[in-house]
Amino acid sequence: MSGTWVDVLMEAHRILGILIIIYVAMSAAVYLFLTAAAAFSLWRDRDLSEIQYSTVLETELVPPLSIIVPAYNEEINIVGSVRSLLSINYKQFEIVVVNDGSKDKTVEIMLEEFDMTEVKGRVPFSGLKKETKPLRAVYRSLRHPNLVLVDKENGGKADALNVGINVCRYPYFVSLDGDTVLDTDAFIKVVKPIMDARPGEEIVATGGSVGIANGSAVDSGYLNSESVRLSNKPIVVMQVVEYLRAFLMGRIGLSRYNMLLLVSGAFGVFKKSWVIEVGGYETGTIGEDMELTVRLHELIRRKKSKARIVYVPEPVCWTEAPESFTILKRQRTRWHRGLYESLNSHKKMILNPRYGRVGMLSMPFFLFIELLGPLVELLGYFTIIFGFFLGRINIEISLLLALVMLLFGSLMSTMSVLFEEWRFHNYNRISDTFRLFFYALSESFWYRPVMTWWRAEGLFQAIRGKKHGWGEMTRVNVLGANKKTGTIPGTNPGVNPVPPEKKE
Amino acid sequence: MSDASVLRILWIAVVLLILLIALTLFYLVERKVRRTRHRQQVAEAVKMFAAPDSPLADYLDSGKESRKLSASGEGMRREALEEALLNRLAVSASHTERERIYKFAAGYFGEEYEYLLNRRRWSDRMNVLLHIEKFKMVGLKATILDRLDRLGKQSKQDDERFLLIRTLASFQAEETLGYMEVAAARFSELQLMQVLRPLRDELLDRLIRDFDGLPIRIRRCLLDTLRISNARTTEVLELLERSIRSEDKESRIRALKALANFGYMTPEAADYFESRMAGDEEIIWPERLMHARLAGAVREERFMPHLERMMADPSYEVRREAAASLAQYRNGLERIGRIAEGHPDRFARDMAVETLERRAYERNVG
Repeated sequence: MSGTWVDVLMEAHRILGILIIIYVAMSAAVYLFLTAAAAFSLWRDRDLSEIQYSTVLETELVPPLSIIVPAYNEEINIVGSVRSLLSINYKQFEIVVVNDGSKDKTVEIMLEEFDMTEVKGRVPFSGLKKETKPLRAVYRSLRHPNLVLVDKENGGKADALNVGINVCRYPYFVSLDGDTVLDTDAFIKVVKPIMDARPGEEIVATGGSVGIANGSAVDSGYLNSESVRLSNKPIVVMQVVEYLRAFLMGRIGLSRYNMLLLVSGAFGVFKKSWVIEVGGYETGTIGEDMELTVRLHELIRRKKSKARIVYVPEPVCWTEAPESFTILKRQRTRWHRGLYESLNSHKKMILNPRYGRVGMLSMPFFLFIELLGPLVELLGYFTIIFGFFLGRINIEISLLLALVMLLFGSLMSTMSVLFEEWRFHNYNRISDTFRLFFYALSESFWYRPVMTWWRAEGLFQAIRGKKHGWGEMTRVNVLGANKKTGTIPGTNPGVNPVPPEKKE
Repeated sequence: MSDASVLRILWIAVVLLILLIALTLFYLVERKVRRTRHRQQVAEAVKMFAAPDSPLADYLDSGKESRKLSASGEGMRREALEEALLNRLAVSASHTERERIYKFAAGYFGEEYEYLLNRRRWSDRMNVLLHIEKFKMVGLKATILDRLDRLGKQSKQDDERFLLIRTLASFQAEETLGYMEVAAARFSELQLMQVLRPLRDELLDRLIRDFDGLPIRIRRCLLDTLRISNARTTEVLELLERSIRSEDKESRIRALKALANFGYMTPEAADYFESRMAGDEEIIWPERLMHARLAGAVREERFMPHLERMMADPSYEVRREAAASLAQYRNGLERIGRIAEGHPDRFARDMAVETLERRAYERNVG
């Protein structure tokens, strides 16, 4: 009796082992492919001069943009954020602040600070066919005619964005996330693909890379590449490497074949008519940015359109990364739940040839490698340990196999550090490069297992159906923007350390 | 497969990966060190050139080239000079200084740029084109034309094609006009406008004269370009007035917008315009918006009733524009006041109140 049991176990273990090896080989192939695609495009663009932007900016020929800023309990930061947005390096834009039923004095402070008066009667309305929470009032600043404040009842970030879409005037809008620090030329960089679109080619959305601001000097809400510094904290450096890999490898590769599934909510430009056609942001989800991008893809395919969703490798905005494990964990489990939700609500696209490359390649990529990856990885560790006890594993082989995997991961990470150097050279000190490199090497040995565990946890939470609350709405705080108010010129040290303040 | 051969493969993989990682590190550090040193030298040189007693400053003041300045070095010097000159161009507006910078750049960078233009590396070519444009190096026109001819037809070359043509336009080269068809087929509107914008005098006149023979996309963009560059000749006026009667909706809207910016129209055109405003033909709101704007820009009594009617337009943007235009008229504010009190349409009343509030604020601040 016990003999057959052992046999069954052994057999199961063998099959599992083979499956895992196949999985690993395939995901390695995918990563290699993405790396090659990214390398190809970055190699072409390496060391391209920044004056390409200044020339365009001088010509004043830029498409007008509506910037939507959702705000929830932002009385401390909102004025600074809006001020720094008002001074952006761009010619034609409007700012639509949407107060999402804040319980504090966000509205009062805005009205006071920018001399806003109520706009009576009907305001422009883009015709989004989606129920939004009722508007209380719309105000326009008398001092800055391009600044609008919409006061509405609380409905969450997606709802606030939908209201912003309804009220804004221009054909392209920018969704701006909380705690985002902008690059001084962020808008022109992200808009460039729209400006350069070939006749007949429509750009539905563009987004740029997101960098990590911790450790850098933020000057009145902006951060440009000269002031980027690498943080001293290992956990932050690790995230820098992670972001570089995710953006420079993953997204360039996917965008090249128009398979980009995620335009980051931190900073994305969208064509309003398309977003309205797909019905705006979905309320009540965690990953409303990914959710929207997927639906845009769906519509593109359905209309058999040549429209594109484009990714700009330039770092256009900077965000503050968690510096403690507790908060990092919360963030990662939440991201994973968001991924699960988006994929779950678009199940029918996965491996559906009707959706072309997005359905056949990028959705499965996100499902099998991004979503289920952690699970398989855990299973792999488990198989090894289990096999060890079953006594049927060649320890030398398993250890070597593990080593190969880890080294492969490290190679991918170091390549992304190299890509950064080719194209942007944001980390200019040799010591920074060394640190990035060695942390990238070490990633597989400590950071990655932890991430794997948390992401698996997030997956389980998602399957169990954990809901997310309003507490998770990110705050609008263009970092350090509020730092300048109240400081006498001259006493400002010029270098504002990023405040260690946390949200979530 | 035996365990031993699996082991061998794995060991090879491990060694290979370690080798690759080491190679990456080596390349990365080498590149970084070189770049950092290079940037440092460039920065020092730029600082040197920026000093008030530098040979560059001497030259820009006097126009006489000293030997010290042209004592050429290697690539580092070129970059430093480029940067120093670009900085100068960005801050100083003096005409003679600009001319001197262009002359110097032509003499000093000409040969090297010509070589770089034909380099294999794409980013080298793009960078040098941007510099050629900034330094207005007309001497390189032949090379640019040659490069354009040899450029492949593929769309991936379009970024380069665009820069080449834009540079030609900035030289006022008449060859630019020969590329209009290509440009219309391949470039975005904003790119077309970047090509059209620098064209002046003779070339611009030719475009206006041959307007009807141009591709439709060029025509539309030309109307916008004329507005942005504030071109104010009788030929332009004639073209704009002709274009508000165009069959093409886009052209009409842009011509109306340009005409509003022009601020004047002939009586005949005004007659036509009024009949169009009064006509009962279905007109889309962006065109109605431009009607309102033009009526505010030329300010003729007979447009006033139409503007008042537009204050009750279904579109917010049109109402707002109509109110702003009406406020431009003599007695306009009084009429808006009357609308605020007794207009039958609620939206018109609201818009009138909003406009009055804004006016009051502006008076207080201004």
